[in-house]
Amino acid sequence: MSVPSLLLKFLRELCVYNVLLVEDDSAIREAFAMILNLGDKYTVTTAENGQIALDLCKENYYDLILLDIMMPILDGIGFLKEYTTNYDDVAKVIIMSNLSSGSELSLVQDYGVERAILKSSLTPTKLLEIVDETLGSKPATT
Amino acid sequence: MGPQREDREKDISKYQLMVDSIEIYAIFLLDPSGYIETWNSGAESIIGYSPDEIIGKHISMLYTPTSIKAKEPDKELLRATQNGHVEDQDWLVKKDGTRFWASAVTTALFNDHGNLIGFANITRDITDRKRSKDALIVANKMLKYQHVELELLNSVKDEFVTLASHQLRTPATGIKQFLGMLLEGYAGTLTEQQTTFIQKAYDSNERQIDLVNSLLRTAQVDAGKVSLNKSFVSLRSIVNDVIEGLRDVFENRNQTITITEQQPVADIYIDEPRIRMALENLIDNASKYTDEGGGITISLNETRGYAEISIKDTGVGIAQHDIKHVFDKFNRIPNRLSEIVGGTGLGLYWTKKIIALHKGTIKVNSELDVGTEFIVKIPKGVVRV
Repeated sequence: MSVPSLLLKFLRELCVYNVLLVEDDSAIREAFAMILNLGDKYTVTTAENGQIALDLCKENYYDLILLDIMMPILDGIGFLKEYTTNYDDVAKVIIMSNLSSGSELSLVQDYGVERAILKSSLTPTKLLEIVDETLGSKPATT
Repeated sequence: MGPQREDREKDISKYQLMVDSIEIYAIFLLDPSGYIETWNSGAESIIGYSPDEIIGKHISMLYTPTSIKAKEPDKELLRATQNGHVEDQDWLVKKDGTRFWASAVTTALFNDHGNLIGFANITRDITDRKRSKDALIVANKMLKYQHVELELLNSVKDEFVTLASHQLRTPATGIKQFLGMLLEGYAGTLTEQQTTFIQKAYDSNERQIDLVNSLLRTAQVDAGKVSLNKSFVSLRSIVNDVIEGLRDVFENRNQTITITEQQPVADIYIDEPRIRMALENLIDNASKYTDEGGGITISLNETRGYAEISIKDTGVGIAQHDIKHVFDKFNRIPNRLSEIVGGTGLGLYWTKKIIALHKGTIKVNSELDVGTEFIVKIPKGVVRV
């Protein structure tokens, strides 16, 4: 690879946000990852549970974490407890739950979570809008 | 023999006759050591021994081995001597070896010099009464046990519904995203027919998600797991939002919607998402059960300590005898629109519960083929300083 093209790749990577998607259901994980990849604006990494997510966060920096709550091994709340107390330079976090039971709102307050979204009410476009809004970028063009 | 003594002997024989003829009480005398001296016919019929068989025998032969071992006969006579009399209930043994539950009064008898001359004992067989009392105690214990069991089953049911709902919704959420990508054109242009088919699949999946959400919400409210997260919110802005969200519904059905605020309603202290959903249920219902071209009027008002909202439609209405069932769980009142509308019968049940959790009330007035009005009153809550 030539130097200018490497430079170009590097520059492009600078402009691309790193998103970590933590979700145990493979279909939802795959669907959300596909949607987020649509605009070529995000580099999406996926994790199946909170523990894998924590391990990934040790080695990598993410701009945004989309976090499911109910997961095996380490759930979303367990992840947040560990991540917000023991990690520096934490990412913005959006929690994805399935029913507003009120507990999500207290998570938002307790862990400085950006917002809570209801997975079953999301459409692909709506998901992209929310992620763009949270990261402060323009809506993805597709 | 003087006349006085003659009278006295007559009295004694009358008493003797009376005591002898009493059938439902065993009446007998004991000497100071507890040996049986007299035995009436009641004693014979209850306990089974004839006077010949029992007179001269010790009282302990009527006791159970356990009582004898515990020296109950002697203890009882001692207590009677000390206290004048003693009342007791215990198992006694009949001649045929069967037991009966006896209620007995033993009275110590003293002569004029204060010396113990014996005991009088009156015993009744109250086995039947004890059996029914025992049966009641057992029945009561059974009921308590069944109650605990039912509570346990109920919580298992709530947990099952919660878990099942989560499990059901996850695949539906996956379906929604993939169909959504197709419908929103992320996988290229679809033909008109493809769009129609996928839209139908999408709508069907949406109904499933709605149903599961309703079940889960209901299970939460039934299990008492709803904790309200209250803040001060403008009721008017919630109503505006709900109407905005349902705009397409009203437009598709060509229905007019009117909002009146009789006087400005101050912000109220409520769980916003839940009250929003409750009002959405009511307003959506008003639209669903009103024919195309009909109208819905929403009035906001403030009375002492309460914010009041009325949602009135010009729809199919509810028959008088059905009104009391509108908030029943899983109840759907049949009318000419209910087949088209579809629904779970959980919306109004949940709505009423949520309003009750806010210490509010919901009332319904309705007339068949004229329309229905739901009136919700919610306490304004703590006054904002």
